[in-house]
Amino acid sequence: MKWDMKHSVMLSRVFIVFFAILLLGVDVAGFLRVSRSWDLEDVIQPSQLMWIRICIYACSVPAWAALWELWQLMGRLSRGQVFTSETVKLLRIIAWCCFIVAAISFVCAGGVHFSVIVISVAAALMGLIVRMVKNVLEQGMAMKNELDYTV
Amino acid sequence: MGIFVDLDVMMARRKISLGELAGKVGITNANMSILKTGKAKAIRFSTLEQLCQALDCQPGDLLRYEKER
Repeated sequence: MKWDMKHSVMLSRVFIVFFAILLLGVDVAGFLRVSRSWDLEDVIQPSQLMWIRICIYACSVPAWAALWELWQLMGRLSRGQVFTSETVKLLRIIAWCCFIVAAISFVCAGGVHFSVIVISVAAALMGLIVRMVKNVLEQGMAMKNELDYTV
Repeated sequence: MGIFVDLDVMMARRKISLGELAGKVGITNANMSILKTGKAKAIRFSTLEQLCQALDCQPGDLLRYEKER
């Protein structure tokens, strides 16, 4: 099998679906009060468990939004629409989703444990990387525009 | 943009249509239209050369500079 861009986009889509299934699992597990079946009640206090749930469900919203935008982005890439304003817009939204998760987990770190701030930092870094990619694509868009109108 | 392409004038003088000129120059009708309507951001020397050859004129007959206000 020859590996090309089409297969690469397909693999990315598989990863998105896989991540969506994981996220769904996390959302359902939070609802099912997993801590009891995992005997975590000795380790996690009820107040901390409440903050964990708040963190999971509050972060779920931007996470699902980011996954949806990623799916749209993969669709655009498969159609060859790379350096377009719509693609830049999708990346901007994904970056902001990461920043929102960073903010939520930062707030929840106070209620759960300070170590949760690692999630906040990781999400913020991811948002920053996506923003950089967005900026690069914007430059690419300007260059493509210039090239398209070069006769 | 400060550079204007006066293709209309030369095309009228030589009595040549857009499609005909595009064929002689070797670019698509769409690109010729972009050039004619002033939407072009750049022009290759090779294209300019072909235009001058097809219209039997100088680059200065086709390109005009106006100070931007």
